[in-house]
Amino acid sequence: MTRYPLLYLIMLIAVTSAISCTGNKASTYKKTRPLMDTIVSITVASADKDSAEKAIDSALSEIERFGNLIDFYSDKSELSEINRNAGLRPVRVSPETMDLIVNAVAAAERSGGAFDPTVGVIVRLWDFANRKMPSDDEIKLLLPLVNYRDIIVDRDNSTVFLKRKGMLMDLGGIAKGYAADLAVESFRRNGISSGLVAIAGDIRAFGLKPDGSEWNVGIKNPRQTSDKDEIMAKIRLKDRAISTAGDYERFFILSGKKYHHILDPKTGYPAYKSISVSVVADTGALTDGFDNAVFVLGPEKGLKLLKEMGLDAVITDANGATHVTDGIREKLTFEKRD
Amino acid sequence: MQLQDKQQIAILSAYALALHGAEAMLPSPIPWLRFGLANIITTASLVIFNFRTAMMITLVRVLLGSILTGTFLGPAFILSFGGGVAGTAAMGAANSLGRKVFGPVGLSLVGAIFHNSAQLFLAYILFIQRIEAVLFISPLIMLIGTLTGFANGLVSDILIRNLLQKDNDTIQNVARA
Amino acid sequence: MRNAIKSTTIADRVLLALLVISSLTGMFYSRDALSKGEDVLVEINGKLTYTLPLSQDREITVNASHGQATIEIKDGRVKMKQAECGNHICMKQGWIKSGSIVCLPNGIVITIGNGRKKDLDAVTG
Repeated sequence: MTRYPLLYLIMLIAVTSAISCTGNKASTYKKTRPLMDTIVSITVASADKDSAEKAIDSALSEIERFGNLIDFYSDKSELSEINRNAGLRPVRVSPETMDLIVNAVAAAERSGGAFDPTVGVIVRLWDFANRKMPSDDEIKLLLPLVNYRDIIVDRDNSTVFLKRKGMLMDLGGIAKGYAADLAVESFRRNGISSGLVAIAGDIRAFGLKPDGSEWNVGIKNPRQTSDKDEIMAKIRLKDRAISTAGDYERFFILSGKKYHHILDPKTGYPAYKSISVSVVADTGALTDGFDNAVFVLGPEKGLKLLKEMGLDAVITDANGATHVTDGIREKLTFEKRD
Repeated sequence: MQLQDKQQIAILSAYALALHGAEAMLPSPIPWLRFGLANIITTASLVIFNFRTAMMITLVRVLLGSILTGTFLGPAFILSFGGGVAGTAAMGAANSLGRKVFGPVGLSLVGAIFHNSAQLFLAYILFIQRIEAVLFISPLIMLIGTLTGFANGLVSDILIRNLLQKDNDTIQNVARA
Repeated sequence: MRNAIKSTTIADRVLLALLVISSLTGMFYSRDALSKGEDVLVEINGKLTYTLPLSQDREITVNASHGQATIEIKDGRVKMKQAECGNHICMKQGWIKSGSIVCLPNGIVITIGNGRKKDLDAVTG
C-alpha cells in the first residue's frame, strides 16, 4: 500500500467519508389515519424509521384515546355521559376531558360567548347534508339552553355538571386543536424534537424540519374555484398552531341565502361577518378555541379580542378583504391572484 | 515522415471510429456510461502529434460515427459533438501547459471531465430543464468519468510508448541499412 | 501497466485525487438534496406530462423521442421498467423513493415531488 502513497490516501479519504456521511441524516416520516371523524396526519423528523414509527403510533393512540372520551356521537364517551345527565347530576371525568372543558369555558368567557360549547343543542337542529334548517320558533325555544355559564366545573372532584335539563355540550369546536397538543406532548415524551400534527384543518407545528426550515402550511382559499386557486396563502410555522373556521366547509343555499355551520351562539343562526378565519397561537387549544369566536365576532371585534389574548390571525371578512395581525405578517405569503 | 504521419493519422482515425462503434454495441451488462475508448486514440494523437491532429480525429470520429449510425444531427450527435470538442479542446489547453506537466493519464482525465461536463450542460439546456435532476446525477457521472479517464489514460500511455518505440525501431533499421 | 502508473506526473496524480474526492463528496451531498414528495412527476422534453400519486401502484407507458418507456410505481417507489434508449442508465437506477430518474436520449425525467401542493406540509381551512 505504501508504495503508492497517493493512491492509499485517496482510498482512505473515500472510505472515511463513506462511513461518516451515511449516518445521522434525519428525514421526515409521515403517517395518516382516520380518527376523530376526520383524517389525522402526523409527520415527524427522525434519524431512523423505527423510532419515527413508534413515536407516530404513540401520538395516534393518544389522539384515538382522547377522541373516544369526548366523542359527541358515541354513547360511550364521557361527553355523552355529561350530556345525558344534564340537569341531573355532576359526572366524573378524566383529566384530559376536564382540561378540555376548562379550556372551552375559558374561551367562551374571554370571547363573551362568541364561542360557546353549549350551542350543541341548536346545532343539532341544523341538517347540512339534507339542507334542513330549524324554524325561528324552534330556535327561540332552545336558545336559553345555550349558556356556557351553566357549565359547572368542579376541579377538586374532577366533575362536570350541566345545570339545565336539555343542555347539550359539543366540544367539536375545540377538541381537535387540543388533541394536537396531546400529540405534541407525546412527541416530547418519545424524544422527538420536530414534527407536524394535522387533524383535518387543526395543525400544530413542533420544532424545525431536518433542513432547519420552518413548516409550511397552506391556508385554503374560502372561495376556491379550481385546483389552481386552492391555496390563499402560505404561512411558515415554528412551534405554533393554526386552526381555521370557514363558511365553506358545511353549508347549503336556500332561496339565495347561504346557511353554514358556524352558528352565532347568541342568535342560533350562522354568523355572516367573516367568511374565513385562521387563528395562530402557541397551542391548538387556543387556536381551535378561538377561531370560531373570531369568525362570529367579525374583523373589528375579532381583532380586538385577538389583541387582548395576544393571538394572531388572518381574517377574510364578508367583503373578501383580508386582515392580518402584526405577529404573523412576516410569516405569511399570499398567493398571486390573476 | 509527412506521408507516414498522414497514414498514421488516417489509421488512428479509423481506430477511433471503430472503437466508438464497437463500444456503442457493447451489451448493457456493463452498466452506466460508455468507457470513452475512443478517447484513448485522441489522447495518444495529442501527445504524439499535435492539437490540430487530435481535434481532426475527434471531429472525424463524431461526424462519421453519427452518419454511420444514422444519428447525424440528432440529440445523440449534439451531445457527442459537444462533448468531444470540449474534451479535446480542454486536453489541448492542458497539454499546452508543457509536456512535463500532464502525462497521458492527466490529459485523459481532463478530457473525460470536460467531455462529461459539456454533455451534462448540453443535456440540461436542451433536454432536461430540471436542474435538480442534472445536479443529482452529475457527481456519479463525474466519478465514472474520472475512473474511466484514468484507465483510458493508462492505456493511452502504453499505446504511446508502443507507437513511439516502433518509430524508433524504424529509424534504427533505416540507419543500419 | 506498472510503467504507465509509475510514469504519471505529479499533476496527474493530484488531478486524479481531486476528481475522485470531489465527485464522491458530490455524491453524498446530492443524496440529501433529493427532492421528496408524494407524487411522481413525469416530464417529457421539459414539459410536465403526468402527475401521479406515489401511493397508488400502477404502470404507465409513455411515448418519447426515441421510442416508448414504461414507468412502474409500486409500494411507494418508482422505477423505469423499460425504455428504448441506448445505454439504459435510467433502468439501472432501480427503484427510487426520492430524487429523480433521467433518461437522457428520450428526454424523460421522473421526479418525486409534490404535484399540486407546492411544498406545503399541511393545509388548514
